[in-house]
Amino acid sequence: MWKRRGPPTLQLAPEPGSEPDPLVDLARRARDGDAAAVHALLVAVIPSLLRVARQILGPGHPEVNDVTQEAACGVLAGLPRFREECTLLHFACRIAVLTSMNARRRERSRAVKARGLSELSHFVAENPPTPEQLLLGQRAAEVIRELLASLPKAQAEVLGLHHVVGLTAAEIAGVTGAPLETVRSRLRLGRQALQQRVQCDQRLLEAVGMNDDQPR
Amino acid sequence: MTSPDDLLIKRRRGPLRAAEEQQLEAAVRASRAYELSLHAGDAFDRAGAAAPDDAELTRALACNVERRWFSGVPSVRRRRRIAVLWIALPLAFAGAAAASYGSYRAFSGQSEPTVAPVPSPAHVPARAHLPAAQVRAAPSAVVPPRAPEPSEPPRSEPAAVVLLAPAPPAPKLTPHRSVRRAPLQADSEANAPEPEPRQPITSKQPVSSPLQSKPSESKPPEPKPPEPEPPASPRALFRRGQLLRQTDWPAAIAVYSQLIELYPDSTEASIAELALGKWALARGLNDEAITRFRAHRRRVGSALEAEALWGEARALDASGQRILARPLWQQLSERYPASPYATVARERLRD
Repeated sequence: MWKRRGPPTLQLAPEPGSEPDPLVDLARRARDGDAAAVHALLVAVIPSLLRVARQILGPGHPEVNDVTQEAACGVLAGLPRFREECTLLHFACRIAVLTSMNARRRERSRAVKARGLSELSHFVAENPPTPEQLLLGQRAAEVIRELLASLPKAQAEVLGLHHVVGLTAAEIAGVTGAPLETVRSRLRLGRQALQQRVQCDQRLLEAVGMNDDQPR
Repeated sequence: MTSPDDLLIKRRRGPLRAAEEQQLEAAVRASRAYELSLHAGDAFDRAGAAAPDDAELTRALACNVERRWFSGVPSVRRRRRIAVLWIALPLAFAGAAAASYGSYRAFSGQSEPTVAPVPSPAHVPARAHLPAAQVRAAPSAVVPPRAPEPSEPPRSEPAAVVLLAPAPPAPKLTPHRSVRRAPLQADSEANAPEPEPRQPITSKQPVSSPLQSKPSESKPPEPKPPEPEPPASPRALFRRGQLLRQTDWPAAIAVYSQLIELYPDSTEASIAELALGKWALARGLNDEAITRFRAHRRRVGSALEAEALWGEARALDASGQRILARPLWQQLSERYPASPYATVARERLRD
């Protein structure tokens, strides 16, 4: 259950400090107004932005492309504020998380429900998980998406960067500029909120209980 | 030592070492939150998986963004903000001006006691023709308790009536002000005013006196007969069962059975039936599982019907009754086509 099935889908830049970020030079040139660098940067960054938008909004959501475009504009606009304390891809992913969260919050305020998730139809793996595990993951992802729209923004940002984008606590601290202990504390609060939400959802509770046939 | 949070992330990026796998396994088995994080991470990875036409989409999005960026067209949200500013700023100025004018009027009204109910434009000329004494008399008529002198004739001039009549809030204001101001004036003007009867206070005293006298009573508290303990609520029983099933399944079964027996119509009982069915199915007790799942499916409007169908069909398959299981697979694929169970159901139907 805890073992990874299939190839990893999370493709991020190398860890900061291990080797120079190849996108930083592009970012500097794009910041100076080099049109070719802007194009190359966008082509390099947009797939990650697209992935984050799909993860937070759901792959079948009608606003995925708009949110990606808005996030890409945000990345270009945010280049002067990029202090190279993290990789450019992490910086861009953070902007995509915030933009997608805002879209979700707007949607929540309009009380418009997102289209049904069609993520299961895209999934092809060597060793597919059981339907119970798929369902559990799907419901847990839905709960996290709801939490992103309802938790305080700083907490939701850390939760999104960790669970959705897949950044470690240290990477989140580098991206957000918050102290590591603050990030850990926000993660802990987010996990508590997730647990409380699960306790209120009997279907999810039962889904969690599906793996309780063996006593813990 | 790496934290389980970081191990969960590391697992999403690639294979873990054996020691890390063991550590993660222990964390996931010990905590439901980590288990949820694990499965949610997989679900997010599936949701973010690249689509076949992503390369074209990336190029198109990049072109759009470049066009917007180099043409200097502000984003939609920025334009919205500017439009909001254009509306909000004049409103803010107008509001500030109105507030300052209102406060000026109020201040000048305090210094000059000619505040009268605002007449309608039709009545302004009538007020203009009034003598100054009558105009000043207007507020005293609005606030009558200012001790009208007995020599003063009642205000029966038609002009004054016209002036006072049209203001609708005036009748509402007068009794309120009179109630508040009359005793003050009476206190200040009369030397020894008769105290008010204060009926409400005296009437409350007998009510409060027994309460005050209660603690002084020295009666020994009578021992109450022990009441029979009420049965726990279905929710409490369900929570107890949920907690017990993590460590002690036989005890959880007893609690779930008690819940079903005591509150057979509750939602919690229906979920308990499903849990018992799944437990029996995992133990190979297929008949018991079929009974539990069928009992759950007999309930109308269950939110977990798909799970019950799935469980019963699997139990029937496991007990070799494939013919009976087939209609259940059919129902599962037809009623819940988007469910993950439906994929398996369709495969079983093809077999």
